[in-house]
Amino acid sequence: MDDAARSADFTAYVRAREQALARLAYLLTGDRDAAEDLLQNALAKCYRHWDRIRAVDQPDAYVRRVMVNERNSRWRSLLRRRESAGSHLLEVFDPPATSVGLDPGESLDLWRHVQTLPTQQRAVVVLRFYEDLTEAQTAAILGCTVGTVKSHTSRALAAMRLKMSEAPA
Amino acid sequence: MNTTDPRLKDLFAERSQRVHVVGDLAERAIARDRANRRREVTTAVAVGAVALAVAVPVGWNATRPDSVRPGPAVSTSGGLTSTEPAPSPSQSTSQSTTTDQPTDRPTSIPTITLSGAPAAATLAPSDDPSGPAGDTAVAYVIDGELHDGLSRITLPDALARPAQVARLADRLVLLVTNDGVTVVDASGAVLTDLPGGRAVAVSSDRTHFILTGDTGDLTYHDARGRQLAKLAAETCECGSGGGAPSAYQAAVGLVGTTAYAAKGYTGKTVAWDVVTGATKDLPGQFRMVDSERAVAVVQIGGATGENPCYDLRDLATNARRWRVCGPVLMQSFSLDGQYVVGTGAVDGLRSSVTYPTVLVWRTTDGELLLESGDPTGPGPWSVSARAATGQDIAVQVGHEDGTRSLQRCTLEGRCEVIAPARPRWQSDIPEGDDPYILATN
Repeated sequence: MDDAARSADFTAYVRAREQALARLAYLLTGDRDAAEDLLQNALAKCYRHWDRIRAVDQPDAYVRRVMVNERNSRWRSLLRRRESAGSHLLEVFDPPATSVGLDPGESLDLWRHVQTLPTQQRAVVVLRFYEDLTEAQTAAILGCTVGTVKSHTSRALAAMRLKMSEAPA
Repeated sequence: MNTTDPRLKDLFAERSQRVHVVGDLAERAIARDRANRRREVTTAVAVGAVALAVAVPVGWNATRPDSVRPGPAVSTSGGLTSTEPAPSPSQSTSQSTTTDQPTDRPTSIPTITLSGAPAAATLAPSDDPSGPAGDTAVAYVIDGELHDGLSRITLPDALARPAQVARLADRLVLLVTNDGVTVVDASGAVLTDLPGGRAVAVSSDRTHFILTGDTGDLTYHDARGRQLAKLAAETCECGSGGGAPSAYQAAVGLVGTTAYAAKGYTGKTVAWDVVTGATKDLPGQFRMVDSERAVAVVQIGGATGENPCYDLRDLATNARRWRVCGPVLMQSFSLDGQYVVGTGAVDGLRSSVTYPTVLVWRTTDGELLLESGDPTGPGPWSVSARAATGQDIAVQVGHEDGTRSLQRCTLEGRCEVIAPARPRWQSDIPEGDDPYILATN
């Protein structure tokens, strides 16, 4: 595949999946700029290896893995602190476009608590409860065991429950 | 029953629906990949061979030479307190022909060096917007123009943002881009195109250079780019079974008619006589050579995540003069050969070595003389550096607004702006290339 074909193929994939990937990036980071940076860098890495990635059955799984790894990169977080992207590729609208079951106050509290989770725990709950991945799929993306996923999930939920119970009524 | 699970699902559903893509993600990702590739051209050896792991902030000041100094090497560990794990067996055997045994031990002495000398100075980049003033003997490219003292050479548009630039004899200039190596004359006209060439080393008199390319061959050229000799990739015999092909990975230096190049990622170096064609394998991965002093900085280990060590070796005898170990990457000699310039790694990712801080060691004894402060702290920070002398260290400095200025710094850490702050190329991404490209010689 030459450069032009590779670029076209990659572009087609990104355009088909960009909303889903952007939302995952935002849930992993909780911040528009950070999500944009995470997504750009993860996709840049995927583009580098696109010939190989496009050949697999589920490119999404690979892309998710890159995103989670990037999110765990301490260097990236330091760099981002220095030089945030000046581009504007993502928009986060407020209020929500679609109403769901949570009242606004509860939603805000819970969202704040999610922000306080350690990076790996947060990745686990996002992959499990947003992406609806199984424990095995989550473990594969994180590069850990199913037991570790269970442990992260349990600790994250326990922490969330504790914080929600402590929140003033 | 746990009620957090459905609430989390609702939360994520609600929050995710707020997010919308409003720009061309694919285009930006491709642009970022290209920027990363350009950066990697200049750090190919480092990224390929070094994985460094330390916590932030880094105490580079703790990396002290383990040596007898000055003078030729004999074995010594000096009873130093090790702060690093012992070297792996593969590290030790990688320099079996040296006259001493490795003792990979940085000491942890925060304020006084082993020799009793004062601690390294801390670089203090200027944030003074009133510059620029002064100049540097280090040549550099900015906005498609090579600045070499008072001389200016306008580069062709296609070569305006090289990954690497080096000066050649007769005011010729060598430029490395993603497409290969090009030699231009003082008018900016292209003399020679060498497609596929990437890692380049120029002799100290600038009359010849060597390069490695996509095919893995090592070739020897005169200043105008004419090929005079070739060492075929197959002679490297450094491919892995069924994996990487046999290829010379990095041209390191030229001393007289002897060329030095890394042998794949074997951790060995070839010494190639470009006249007779004779070759000799040397232990360790040479990082750079100084022909005036006939010494080389040789990297030992570091390929599998452990901190590397660096030996200063005498080229004639292969004897070690000093050794420094730690989370650092030695990159170049100063133009006068008195100093070694390198960077400190910031965390465990290989990519961190491509966002350098600045460290300067003394060539004679490996003493660390100058170091950056915490790169994650407030204020301007160092991005890249080349040294002419101890009083003329050209440092590209990053500023809070994302711009880069060029500053001349001294070993005492004082800096003054010599070229104004400019935006990064593709300033909308953190990896956008820096505007100043410092010449390698």
